Amino acid sequence: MPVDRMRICGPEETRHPLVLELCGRPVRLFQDDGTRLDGRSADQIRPMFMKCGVISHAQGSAYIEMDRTKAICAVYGPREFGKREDFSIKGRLTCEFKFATFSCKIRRQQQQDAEEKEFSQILLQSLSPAVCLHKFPKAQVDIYVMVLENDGSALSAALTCGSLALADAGIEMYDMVVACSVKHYCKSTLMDPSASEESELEPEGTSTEEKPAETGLLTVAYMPSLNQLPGMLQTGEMSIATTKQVNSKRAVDCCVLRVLLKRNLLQFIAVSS
Amino acid sequence: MAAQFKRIQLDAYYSKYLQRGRRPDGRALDAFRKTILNVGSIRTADGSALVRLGNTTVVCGVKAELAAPRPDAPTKGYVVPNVELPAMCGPDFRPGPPAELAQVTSQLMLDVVRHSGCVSEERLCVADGELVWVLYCDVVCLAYDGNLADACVVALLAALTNTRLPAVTLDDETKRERVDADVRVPLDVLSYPVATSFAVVDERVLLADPNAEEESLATAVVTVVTLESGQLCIVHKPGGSPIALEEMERCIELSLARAKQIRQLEKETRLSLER
Repeated sequence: MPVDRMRICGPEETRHPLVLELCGRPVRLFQDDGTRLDGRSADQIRPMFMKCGVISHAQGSAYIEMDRTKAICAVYGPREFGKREDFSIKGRLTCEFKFATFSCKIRRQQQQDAEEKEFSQILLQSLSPAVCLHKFPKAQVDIYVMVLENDGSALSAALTCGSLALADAGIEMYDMVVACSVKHYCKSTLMDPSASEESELEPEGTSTEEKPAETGLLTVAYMPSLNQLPGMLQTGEMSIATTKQVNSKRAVDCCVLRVLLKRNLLQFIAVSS
Repeated sequence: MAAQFKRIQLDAYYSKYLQRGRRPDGRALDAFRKTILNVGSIRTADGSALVRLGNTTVVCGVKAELAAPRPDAPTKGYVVPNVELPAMCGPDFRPGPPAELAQVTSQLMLDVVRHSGCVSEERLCVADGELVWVLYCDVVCLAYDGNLADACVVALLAALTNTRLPAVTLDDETKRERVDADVRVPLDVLSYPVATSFAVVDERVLLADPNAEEESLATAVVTVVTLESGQLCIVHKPGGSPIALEEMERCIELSLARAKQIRQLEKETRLSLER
């Protein structure tokens, strides 16, 4: 890795002490009594905490905790374009997503890597349809999301947090955006997976003689009042039938739950301000 | 009316307050903002701390990794502090390479770690010449409202005190490390330095714990780092307008008093966690 002259550098090659263990140990999805590792049922989402107005200098900001997954978002704008030569009759939205270096089990780099760039794009594409871009011509709104701890469903947390921060900033929107993740493995569908459930490892007891197990992760962004999906990301192997019927509906149901929480929060803000 | 006056002539606005010995946010000239400390909330990190100093919020996460030591220092591990000012922390910060303030503060963190002896690099050695710990201490500023240095040092020390390393031994025959993840050894923090910053405004008036506005008006900034023994570790005054020796002595006195408060806060936070 080239030496980064702007930061204090450690030795060139370092490794996580548990790197072999983390990548090798298979994960059990269900305990003996049928509940997941953290005691939830397959359909249950984790308890959530949301707060707006956490960053004083930002126009809008929000903080979300989904059990251990923590994300914080700041929204600046509308402000003038970064590059003055660009001209646009519609407003512009930029999005930056970053995992904090200490947020994942294996330490991440300080510069944005490919996965973070991909997530930034997804955030941008999922939040743009909800924002009334024509209301701030020639201006840009910047959304910065950072995940402080990743215990699964980081992208959903980021999407929900981003939309909440936009609302806190007073940016005009068509609708809120809520997001949820679903993990599918063989016949089990798990809502709001934690990091160990999201990982690529095969759960114990898999028979390799049968056809390979269907395993995939689906993240859905949803606009509840308009009943539209601005974003959907699916990774892994899932048959079309499975994806269509089971997962989308479940993800949407879960999103509705989240919306209730969000609406309560915003009402609270309106009353207190 | 006052808001417009403040916007157009910030220095005159401040002078009117400073003449009466107060600041616009109501503090006395030598008063510090409310400090909140929270440790150990980020479980993916080996040690973590969150500090709120007024509106300035920083999070420090310590990640420990293993590496081969430098050939010229075979018994020493590494401590690698870094301060990040992402674009979210304030309207003046943009995405991209680290800003000057971030680089300067990172270097200050490194100096604090090295010269205070808070973490002994020899104790980070697992096997002489073969395997050492590398502690990556990343401090991320979530909200910037002045006085980054103080908040970062408090966060760094609190995170280091909170750090628990897995027990690692090196097998002499196979030369592979054996890691016992269930046994966690607390890191030995040998001393507890605390930083206190002051801004010089109007070339005479000393303000403790400046916020972002006061920093923008400042003609000089002084940071004093002290240890529990009452000794001075670092005095950082990178140029700016000169200050009298008596003023400097006053800074040091205030720093020592402040340092006691911070250590007390850290102790209370740690004890409440253990309960």
